Order: sequence, then structure tokens, then C-alpha cells
Amino acid sequence: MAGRRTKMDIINDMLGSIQDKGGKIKPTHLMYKANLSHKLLNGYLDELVNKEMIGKIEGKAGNQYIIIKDKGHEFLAHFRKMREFQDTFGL
Amino acid sequence: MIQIRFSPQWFFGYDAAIDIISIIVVGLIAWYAFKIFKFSDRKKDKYFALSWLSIALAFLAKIAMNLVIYYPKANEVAYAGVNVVVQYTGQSRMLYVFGFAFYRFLFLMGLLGIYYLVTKEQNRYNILMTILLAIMIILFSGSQYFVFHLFAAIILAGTVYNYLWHYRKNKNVVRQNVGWGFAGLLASQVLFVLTAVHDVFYVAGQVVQLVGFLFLSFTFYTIVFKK
Repeated sequence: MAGRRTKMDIINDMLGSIQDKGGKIKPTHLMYKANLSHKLLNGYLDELVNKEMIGKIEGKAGNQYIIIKDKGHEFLAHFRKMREFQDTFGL
Repeated sequence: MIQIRFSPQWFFGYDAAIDIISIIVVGLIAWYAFKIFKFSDRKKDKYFALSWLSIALAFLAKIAMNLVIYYPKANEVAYAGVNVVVQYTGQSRMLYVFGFAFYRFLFLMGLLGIYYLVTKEQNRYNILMTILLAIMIILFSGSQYFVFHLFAAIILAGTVYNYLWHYRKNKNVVRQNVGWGFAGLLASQVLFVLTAVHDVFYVAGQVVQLVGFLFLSFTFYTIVFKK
């Protein structure tokens, strides 16, 4: 069984989910994809918006979307390299 | 009288250059592991970084001690043989004894740290027992040089086995390369033990050690710097 997710794992899951959806996702979809509660999701969204990793935009029908920004892409690339390093060295 | 110089005279300086390259490779791995720790806040990453840092410091200590041996102050040294057997007295002897003990301690602690992290050993008594064994070898062994390299080889054999066994299961080529890098270090330790037979084994050990670290640096490069 996989261990408990760290904060970085959760952020990676969130940003990865947005990226997989072409860089834009609805908050509800993100909640399910990242396997988070509504309260936790909002906490993380605020933090990631403050860190300029994601942004919030409004769609044509007035729906809110979450988009991934350059810093978010950088985080994902950095995180994947770190994971590869940990896996390669067996950590 | 203790034999403390194992390198042939023509190799002086080259071995220091190899050790400096080793420090750079080991230092880079320690730096990146520490960067990961700052990011992940995982103890494993911290200990991994500290293990590599310990090895880097060990090489630094070794270079410093080799400088003392290769360029001794004439008034503190009484030569008992030509080039090979040197009797150190006074401050030089103290520096030699503590300097090399420090080098061996740091090197073995680094190797043990990596071994325990890779094998995911969590039994604190086992870990403490091997650390104490390493300290006893460093302090009380009659032929410290050979026992030290043998002990290092045994730890490295465990590490290599773990990496290559993992490759058999998962076919992760990059991880296999790490295994080959450690295999190079293992072979170098065995060659250092054979220095008792001929000093050419010291040269061979240093060269093989360099190959081992180059393998590790190549793996590090492919993960961290290659897009």
C-alpha cells in the first residue's frame, strides 16, 4: 500500500492533473482527480495562486477554471527530476 | 614503524587529482540530495545528502593527509627506508594518526549511510552495531589500512548487490548504472587491499575508483541536467 501523501505529492498530483487536462480544469474535476476534500482543495488552491503556480479564469458560460502557469510547469519538471533521482538511488 | 605511503612516487599528484574529481562528483550528489531534502523534508533525503557529504569530507581529509606524507617536514621525519617506509615522529605522527582515522571514519560512515538507506534497514541496533564495529576497526585494528579497505569493500558489495538485484526485478537501466558505479568503487577497495603485494595495485585502485565515480556522475548528469 502506498504511504501517506506529503504536501509536495499533493501539489504534484494537482498540477499534474491540470497539465493532463491540457492546462485547464474545473475545480470539481481537480478535487476528484487529486483526491482531495473541498476544504483541502481550497487551501491548496489559495497557496498555489499566491505562489503563481496556477491561476483562476472564468469560462464562456461563467464557469470557473483553474489554469497552470509557467511556475507550475517548472515545479512539475523539478519534481519529476527529484523523483527520478530518488528512484534511481533507491531512496 | 608504520607503512603509510602506498603510492608509487611517479603517481604523486595524480592520485590527488583523482580524489579531487571524486570530491566534485560526490559533492554534486550531496548538493542535489540536500536540495531534494529542502523540498521534500524527508529524513531519508537528509541522511542520503549527509552520507555523500561525509564521503566528500573523507576525500578532503585524505588529500590533506597525503600532502603531509608526500611533503613531510624534514626535521619531523626519520626515513627508515627508501620512499616506502617512513617513520613519522612528533606532530607529523599525531597528524597522520588522527587525520587518517578521521578520513576512514567519515568514509565508512558515508558508505554505511548509503547502504542502510538503499537496503531500507530500520533496525537501530543493527545500525549501531556496525557503526561501533567501524569505529573499533579504525581505532584498534593492527593493520588499519587493509582492514579498512576490506570493510569498505564488504559494505560496497552489499550496496552493489542491492542495486543489481533491483535491476533484475525492475530492469531500470539507470539504476543499474548506479550499481556499476558502486561496483567500480568496490573493485577499487579490493585493489587497495592488494597494495600489500605491489604498489601498482594502488594506481589501479585509484583509476578504477575514478571510473566508478565517472559512472555515478554520468547517471547524475542524465537525471539532473539532461532534459
